[in-house]
Amino acid sequence: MIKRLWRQLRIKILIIMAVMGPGLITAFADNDAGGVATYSVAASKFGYSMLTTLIPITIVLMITQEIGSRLAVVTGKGLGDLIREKFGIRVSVLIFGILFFVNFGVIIQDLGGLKDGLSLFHLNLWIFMPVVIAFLFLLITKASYAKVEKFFLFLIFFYISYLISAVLAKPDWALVGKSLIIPHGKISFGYLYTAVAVLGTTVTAWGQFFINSYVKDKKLTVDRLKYNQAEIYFGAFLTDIITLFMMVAVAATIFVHNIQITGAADAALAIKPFAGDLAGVMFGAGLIIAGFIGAAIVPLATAYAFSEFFGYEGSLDVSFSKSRLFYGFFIFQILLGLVVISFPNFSLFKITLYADFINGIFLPVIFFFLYKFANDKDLMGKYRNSKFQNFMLVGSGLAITIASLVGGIGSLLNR
Amino acid sequence: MFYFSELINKKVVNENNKTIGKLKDFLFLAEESPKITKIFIKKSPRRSFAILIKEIKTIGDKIVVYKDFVEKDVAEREFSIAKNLLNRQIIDVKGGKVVRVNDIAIQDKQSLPPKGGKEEELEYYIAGVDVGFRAILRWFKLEKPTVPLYKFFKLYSHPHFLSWGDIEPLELARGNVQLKKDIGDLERMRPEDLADYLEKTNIRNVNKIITGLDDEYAADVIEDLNINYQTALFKRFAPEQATRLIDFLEPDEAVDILLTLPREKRNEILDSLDKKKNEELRELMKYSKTSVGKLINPDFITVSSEATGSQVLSTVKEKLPEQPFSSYIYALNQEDHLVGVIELSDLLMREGDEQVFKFMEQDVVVAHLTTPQEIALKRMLKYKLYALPIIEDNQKMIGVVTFDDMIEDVVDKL
Repeated sequence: MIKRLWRQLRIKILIIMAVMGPGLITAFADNDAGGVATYSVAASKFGYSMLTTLIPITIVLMITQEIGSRLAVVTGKGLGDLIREKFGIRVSVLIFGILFFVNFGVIIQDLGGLKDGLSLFHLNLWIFMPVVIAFLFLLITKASYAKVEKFFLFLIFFYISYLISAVLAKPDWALVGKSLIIPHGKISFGYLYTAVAVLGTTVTAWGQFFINSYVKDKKLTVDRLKYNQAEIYFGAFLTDIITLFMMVAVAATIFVHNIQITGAADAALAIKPFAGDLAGVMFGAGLIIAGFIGAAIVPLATAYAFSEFFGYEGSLDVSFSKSRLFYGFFIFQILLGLVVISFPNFSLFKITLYADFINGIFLPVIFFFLYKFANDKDLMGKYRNSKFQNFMLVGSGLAITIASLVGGIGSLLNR
Repeated sequence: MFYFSELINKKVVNENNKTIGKLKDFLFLAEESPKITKIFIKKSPRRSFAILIKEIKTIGDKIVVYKDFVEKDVAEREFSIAKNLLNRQIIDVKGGKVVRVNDIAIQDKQSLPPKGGKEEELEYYIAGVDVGFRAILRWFKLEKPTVPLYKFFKLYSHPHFLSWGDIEPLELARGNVQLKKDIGDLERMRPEDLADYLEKTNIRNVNKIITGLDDEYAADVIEDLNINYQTALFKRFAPEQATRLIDFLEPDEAVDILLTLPREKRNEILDSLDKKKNEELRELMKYSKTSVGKLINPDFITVSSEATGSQVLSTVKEKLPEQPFSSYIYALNQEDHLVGVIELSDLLMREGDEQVFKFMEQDVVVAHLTTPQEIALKRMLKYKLYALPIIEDNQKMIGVVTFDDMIEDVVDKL
C-alpha cells in the first residue's frame, strides 16, 4: 500500500519536475534589474505602505500568466502566431513594432542594471561586461532548451540574497504583515502613480509574449495542463515573495532614515550603514543576477515573437545555422542596448520610468488579445476562459489603463 | 497573375458602375489544382455574401461583375483563402521547413468554351503562395518603391514563391474536409524532419496528419516526436490504430511510449497485439527499470554454432528484411547459451561449408541488465562495437543494445 502510494507520488514528482520552468523563469524575470530599481525606489519613497500592492499584483500576474500559458499548451501556438493568424499582417507588423520598442526599453534597463551591479563590486567594466555578454550569447545560441532552462532555474536560486538582506535590515515584521493587507499612512497621488509603475514592472507585455512562446517551445501537451498551471501559480507566488523581501530591505533602512535614491545600485549602497556591509553586498549581487536574467529573457521574448509573427524558425532547440534570424535578432538587440548605455549622459533612472509607463499603456492591448483568444471556441474548445478569469482579465485591463493614464497625466502636471 | 493582397478590399461594381461592396475573400476547391469557385463580398459591416467567380467580368482598378448575379452559400468542400490559407503555417516540402503564408498568387486561365456556349470563360486558380519578405512589404504597398533599395544593396529580392504542389498546410482541415486531398506528399520528406515540423502545431493537427499517413511511415515519424507528443497521440488513437502503429514501432520506442500511458490504456493496447509481440513488449517493460534495460532491442539474429557458413547466410537473408539492420550474428549452443559472435563482413569471406564455431569470435563482449550504462558504452567504444548483447545470469541472451540508441540517450541527458 505504502509502496504503491510512494510510486504514485514519485510519478507525480517526476511530472512536476518535467513541467517546471516556464512559470518560475518568466515570473522571476519579472524581477529583473528594472524591477529591482522600481521596487527599490517605490519602497524608499513610501516604505511599508507600498507592500499593500503586492497581493493584488500577484493575483493579476497569476491570472494573466496562466491564460497565456494555457493558450500555448492548448493551441500549440505563441501569442505572435495567434495575432498573425487572426488579425493579419498589418496588425502583426504594428504590434511587433511596439513590442520591439517597449522591450528595448526594458533591455536597456537590464543592461544598465548589470553594469551598475558590476560597478558596485569595483569590477572593471571593460573586461567584465564583454565577458558576461559573450557568455550570454554562447548560452542562448549553443545550449539546448533543456540546458538553458536548467541554468536559469539555477540562477533563480540566487534571488535568496534579497531574503538575506531583508533579514539583516531588521525590519518591523509585524508592520510588514499588517501592511500587506492595509496601507498605513495616506494614499497620495504619487502613491498611486508609483503603484502603477510597480504593477507595470511585474506584469509585463514581454512576459505575456514570453510565457506563450516558451511554453510552446517546451512542447507541453494538454495532458500536463494542470501541472503547468500549478507551476505558473507557484512561480508568481514565489517571485512576489522575493519582491516583498526586496521592498522590506529598502523600507526598513532607506525609507526609515528618509534617504533619497534613484535606483537599485543606490539602494545597495544606502543599505550598508544601517544593515551592515553584507546586506548591501547581497542586494548588489541580486542586482547582477536580475540584470543578467532580464538581459537574456527579454530579447529572447522579442526574438520568439519575431519568429512567430513572420514565420521563421525560432526555437532554442534549433541550431544557430538553421535559425540565424532568431538568434541574430537576439544578439542585435543586446548589442544595440550596449551602445545606448555607453552614452556618457545616459540616465537609467529616466529610462526606468519611461519603460514602465509605456509598458503600462501597452499591456491592456495585450490583454485584449488574450481575452479574444482565450474565449475563442474554435481555438480553445473546453479550455476556454471561465467567467471569473474573464472578469479578472477585463478588470485588471481597465484598472491598468485608468491608472496609467491618470498616473501619466498626473506626473506631467506635477512637473 | 494577381496577388491576393492587391485584390482584397477592392471595390466591386456592376456593369453600370454601381457599387456592390468590397472584395473580402475567395473560396476554392480542395483539389489537385485548386480552382477558385466564389468570391466573398462585404456589402456593409453586417452583410456579406458569396457569388460565383464566373460572375466577374473584369478585374482592374475595380472589380466589375455582371448585373444579374445570384448570391450563393458556401459549399462543403470549399475553403477560404483568408481563413484557411493566408497567414497560416505551411510545410515547404521541397525546402524542408515550416513557413508562414504572406500572400497568395492567383492565376487566370482561358478555358475552352463550354459546349453550346459562345464565349470563352476565364477560370481562376491558386498558383501558389508567397512566403517571402517582399510579400510583407506588398501589404503596405511598399514592394515596388523598395526595389531600388534592394538593387542598390545587391540584396536577394525575388518573391519567395512556393507552388501549390510543394506545400502542405500544417492545419489541414475544416470539419472533415481536408485542405489537400493527398497528404502523401509529406512522405517525400525524411520522417525525422516531418516530426520536427509537427512539433510546431498542436496535438489535434498532429493527430490528423499522422492518421492520414501510411502506417509504416507514420510509425517512423512518431518515433522522432517528443515524448509528450507521443503520449498525447496514443491517448487519442483508437485502439486498432494504436495497435497497428505499436506494431510498426521499434520495440524499445514502443516500450517508452507504453510506459507513459495510463495502465488501462496500456493493457488495452498490449492485449490487442498478437501473442508474440505482446509477450515481447511485456518482457521488455520489465527490463526498463535499469539504464541499459530500457534501451534493449529484442530483435537480433541467432544461429546454431554448428551451422555452416551458407546456412547462416540464408538465415540472414531471410531475417534481415524484418528487422533493423544489424551487423552481428550471434551463435548459440544447444542450451541456447551465447557462445560466439560473427561479423557480417567476416561471414562473406568464409567458405560455404565451414562451420560457425570454427570462425566465430568466442570471447564475446557482453553486458548484463544491471551493467551501468556508462560502463556498457565504454565497453562498446573500447572494442569498437556497434551493438552489445545483453545476457541474463543463465547465459541466455535477451536482446541487444545498439550504439546509436545509447548515444541518443546520452545526448538527450546533456
